[in-house]
Amino acid sequence: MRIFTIAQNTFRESIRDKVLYVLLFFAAVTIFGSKALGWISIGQDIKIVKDIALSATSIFGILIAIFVGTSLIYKEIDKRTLYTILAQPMQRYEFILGKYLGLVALLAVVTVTMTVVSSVYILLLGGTLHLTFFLAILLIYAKLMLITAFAVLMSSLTSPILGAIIVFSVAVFGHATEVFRDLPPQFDGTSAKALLEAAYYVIPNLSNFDLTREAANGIDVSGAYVVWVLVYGLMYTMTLLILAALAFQEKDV
Amino acid sequence: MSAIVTKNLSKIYREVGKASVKSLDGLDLTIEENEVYGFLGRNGAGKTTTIKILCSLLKPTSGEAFVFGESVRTPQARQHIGYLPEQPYFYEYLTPKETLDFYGKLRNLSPAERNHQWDKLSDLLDLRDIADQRIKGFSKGMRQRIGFAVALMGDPPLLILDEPMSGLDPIGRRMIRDLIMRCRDEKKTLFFSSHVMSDVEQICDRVSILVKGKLTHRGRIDQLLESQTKAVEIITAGLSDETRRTLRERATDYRALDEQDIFVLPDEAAANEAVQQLQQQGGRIVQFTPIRESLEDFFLRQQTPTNEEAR
Amino acid sequence: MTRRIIAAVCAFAVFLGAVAAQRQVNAVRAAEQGEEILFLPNQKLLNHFTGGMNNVVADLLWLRCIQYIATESKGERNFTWLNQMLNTVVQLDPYFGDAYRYGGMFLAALKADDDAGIALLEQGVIANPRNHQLPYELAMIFLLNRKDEPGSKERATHYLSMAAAIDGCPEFVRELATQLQGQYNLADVELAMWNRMVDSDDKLLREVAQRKLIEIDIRAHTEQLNQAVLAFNQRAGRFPESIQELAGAGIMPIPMNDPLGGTFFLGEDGVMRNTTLLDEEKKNRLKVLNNLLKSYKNKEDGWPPNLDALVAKGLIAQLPDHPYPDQTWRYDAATGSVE
Repeated sequence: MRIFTIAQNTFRESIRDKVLYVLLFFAAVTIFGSKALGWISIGQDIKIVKDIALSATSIFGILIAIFVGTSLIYKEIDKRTLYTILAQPMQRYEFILGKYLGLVALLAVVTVTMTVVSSVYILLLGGTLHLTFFLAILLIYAKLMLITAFAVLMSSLTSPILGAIIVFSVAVFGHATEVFRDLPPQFDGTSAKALLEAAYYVIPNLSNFDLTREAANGIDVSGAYVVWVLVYGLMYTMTLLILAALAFQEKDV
Repeated sequence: MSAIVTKNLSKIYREVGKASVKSLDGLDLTIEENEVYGFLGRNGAGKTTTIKILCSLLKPTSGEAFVFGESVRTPQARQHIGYLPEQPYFYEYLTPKETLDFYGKLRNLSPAERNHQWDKLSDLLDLRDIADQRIKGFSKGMRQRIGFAVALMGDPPLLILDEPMSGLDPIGRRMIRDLIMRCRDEKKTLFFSSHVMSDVEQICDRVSILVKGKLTHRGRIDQLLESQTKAVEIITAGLSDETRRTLRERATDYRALDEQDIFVLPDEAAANEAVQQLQQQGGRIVQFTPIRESLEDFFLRQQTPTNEEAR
Repeated sequence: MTRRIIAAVCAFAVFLGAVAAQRQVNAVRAAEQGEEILFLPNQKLLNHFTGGMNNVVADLLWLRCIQYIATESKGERNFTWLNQMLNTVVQLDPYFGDAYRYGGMFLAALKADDDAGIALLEQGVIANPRNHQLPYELAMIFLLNRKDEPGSKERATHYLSMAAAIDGCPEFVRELATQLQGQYNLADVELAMWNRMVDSDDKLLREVAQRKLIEIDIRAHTEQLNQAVLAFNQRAGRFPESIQELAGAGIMPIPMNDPLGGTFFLGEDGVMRNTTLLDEEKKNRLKVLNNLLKSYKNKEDGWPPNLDALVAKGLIAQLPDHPYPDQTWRYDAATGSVE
């Protein structure tokens, strides 16, 4: 119940954040503007719009998760709204979890909005929407939930700017972790390979969540793949949230 | 059961690359139920640190603290506490009513209880007129009232207030003083910090003084202060020049104001003699005031470096 | 304290759950992908570092590719970088059907590099087994560009059947597949293909198709003129001195104007030719020669001493002739250039 109260409050507060609307505006401009790129193609308009719609949802979602997420705790400390709340008879983790859920709800609204806008736009342009398109968006949302958990963890540990830089770097590099698996054969059996493999598992593998190719070209994906990726996202997110709760538990405010 | 007990409470701030700062050093404190307890000290003495530890916002480096027998690290302890921080902030976009409702939910109060609390507190703190305006733009006094209401939400038996009167005009300070007294009448315990001695002197039963993180004095005010009269101030009128002259010889200080003569005499005995002389020689006593050491005097006295601190 | 430890242990346990899930994801992906599309290792790196925007980068590169094709079509018509650009596009987005399709078509038809076109399309077929357009394009290349090679008709039939078997394949492909059983006029197939493209929504495709149709016209007209020359020969017992003489004899239609700016002329051997077609042919054969030269250089680490060495090394069965009957290739062994 308390978690829900905090979540509701967080949602209401972040909906009022102007940065959110600036980012959404640019996302809309990007999506609508992608049609212009279609003019210089030879009939790939719809594919290009789909690609850009999905990428825009991903990138702007990540930016929102980072900007709103990393400043979350810091703003509360800076503005001292935190003191009276934490002095209430509640556990610290309830606060962090509430904050997280509020953010996640915000991102759900953002994602759904962008999906609806993109879908309507694509249909208006005469394209068709394949199930894979919506599965791609579902996985993007799971990715955003993971990154948000990371942002909340960082906001308990460090200042918002440093936290934003760290989360952003992880977000970019997280798409590249598969590179640790493409090692040429001379690496077999070395400690370097073991180290890189460990790195592969520790760094969140964000390329798992990328179904853009299949979505834009109308190709089916297997249910098994989607389910396991969602499980991965859930497990990793929970890891991050537990760490965030631990960090916040010990924090002097 | 004591409302607050601390045992050897210490807090050291360590930062990478800087020297560690000992904010609290071995604090032993006991506050009894239904007391109004003043926690005094200069800025930076460690008052806010202590309060934050009691409210579990900070972790002590060593030592323990208990509220009504529960360790302060548990949520149960916080159940008993109503906390008003220095310069409280709230979510600017909420109204006072929404704010109190929010905190009521955090205390797991039912909707009926929340409404009941709202009715009670909005009357007590005069919030009805501003009930539905957003907090953004409120004055310091209004925010303090809301903060007090939040602290009282859920009717906790212990109120911990950090500098509750700072930044308020005389009317505001009076209001807070009255509230504290009311709470005391309702059998609550009040623990608050301040560096404004005159406020404290009027309402506290007992006080502690914190100097650079260490507790130097504690106890009842009247027991701490010197019981002897420091001086006596007599305001007179209608004196003859001669009376004035003789009295001035006895007095340690003299000034004339409008048509009054004001003398300060070193003790009660001398003052009584002066009064007798006045009555014999003619003149009117407008006011006779024994000056005792004020808490402020006492406090300032503590601040002069002792041998220990000079080391 | 114990609560902290429990929480840390839980975090670690859940993390192990994530590791297990990741392995499952990799297993599912491997099982479904089957034979992996063979990319060179360092080319694959590009995939990882687009920050998750593979497709957008592929699209932008594809647009560059189209611009490149359009500019080259009006200019030198060398299309030197086409292979590389197309390969990068499909590495980033292996399911980008149009890139394979048009890429393969442009490589074969515009750059005269059927090998590259075929390779690209074959990659496309592997990655996109449900796309019927790709095997169809492959069949076209075998039918049209390689019609003189032994076995090409068989391969074309193979790919056409593949296309015909895929859901959504248009009826004419099925008909074509059946038609290939018997004898039929390849020229009709080519004409049909370009006629279809001339109706396309896209300007670039229309232009390409129009030019190709004009070339077909010129060829047909040249053939007509040749018939007239033969007729003249029969009647007069010799070949005409010039076109004017042929025209004057009144047995042929007025030679048309070549809309692409070339001229019709009568060669020494009495065969009517057209400069536009010959120039185009010369360019194509030069491309072939250049490709061969490059292969030679890569293999033997140096330019060949003369063009015959290309035959000697087995890179080609026979050198293509210079399309102009009275000219031969000029080769410079020092720079490896030919004209």
